[in-house]
Amino acid sequence: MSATPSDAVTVVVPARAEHLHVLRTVAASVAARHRLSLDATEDLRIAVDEACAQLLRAGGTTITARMRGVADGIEVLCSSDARVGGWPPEGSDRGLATQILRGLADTVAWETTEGGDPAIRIGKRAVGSTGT
Amino acid sequence: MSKSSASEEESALFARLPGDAAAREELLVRHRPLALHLARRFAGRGESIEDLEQVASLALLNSIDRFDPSRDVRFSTFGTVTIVGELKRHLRDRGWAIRVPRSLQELAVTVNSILPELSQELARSPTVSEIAERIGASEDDVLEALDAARAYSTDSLDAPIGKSEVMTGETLGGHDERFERLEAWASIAPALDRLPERERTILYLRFFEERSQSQIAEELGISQMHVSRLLAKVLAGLREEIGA
Repeated sequence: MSATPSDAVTVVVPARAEHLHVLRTVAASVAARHRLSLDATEDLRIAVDEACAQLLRAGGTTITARMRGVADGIEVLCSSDARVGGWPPEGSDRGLATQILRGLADTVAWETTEGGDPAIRIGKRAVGSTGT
Repeated sequence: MSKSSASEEESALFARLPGDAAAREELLVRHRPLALHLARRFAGRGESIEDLEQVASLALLNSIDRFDPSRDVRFSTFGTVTIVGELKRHLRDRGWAIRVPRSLQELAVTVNSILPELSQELARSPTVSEIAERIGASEDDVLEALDAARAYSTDSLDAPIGKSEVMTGETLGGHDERFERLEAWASIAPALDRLPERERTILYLRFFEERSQSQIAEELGISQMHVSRLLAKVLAGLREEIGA
């Protein structure tokens, strides 16, 4: 275990749609702690759902959401343990999911984690930070 | 009596009922762990564990008296059904089947009632800590109240909403970004066409007009929670339909 306390919250659920509500709910709770407005919190809730639904399509057995406070709000890194050849899927940067995510979150990035897991990183600003 | 299997022993005990108090006591002792185990499964719903254990023990006693050993059912099966039924009935009679404690319901009502004025004062949607400060509750309580409001809101997702004056004008920034957005949404135009007008309106306002959920709520005359749920529902529905 790390000796440095971190305020990151990590939740792992089975890679099935019916478990995503756990991630949504925890994300909303963490968001409220980091001074996101109710509007922003509700948007984040839906964005987490959207991102994880995209990751479900990659297959895999678990979906992980790592939430942490950052300087201007909250960041959620959603990832899947799926082993996929090409991530992100072709055209995803122009696809509907990206449009929905951009509409809901302030930052959206399709990534691959250090461990090679497909991931989507979303950020949402808190009240009082620039851009709110 | 020769040493026999547990179930034969048990049949023998039941055969001595109803007259034999010792046999009844023996059956009670044997199955008490089952009753206590079942009682614990209903803990955390507002009723104390002691009360639950008492209800379960009483139900066990009743089920021993009512058990018919001539029928091809094991007592543990019959007893479990009876005890669980009694525990459920007890919780329901005490009003705890609905798992939102009353104080939380009241708090949820309070939170909802101060949201409009607080939003107006701040000229934006408030944070949980701002709500907590306003109504003199802890942040934990406000969070729980918001969750309760979400879970138990009686708004129907299909309820009609107020008239909205949605303009088709565009308020978006760069041309390229707008084009890309239109292109992405156009790819699912048939699915969008099939949506009820209200759902389409909410999508349009949120993603093209870039209105906040509370602005949309105000425009449509519904709660923000309702907007959030409709938005989540319509996006999930679209995903399912287009396999995206």
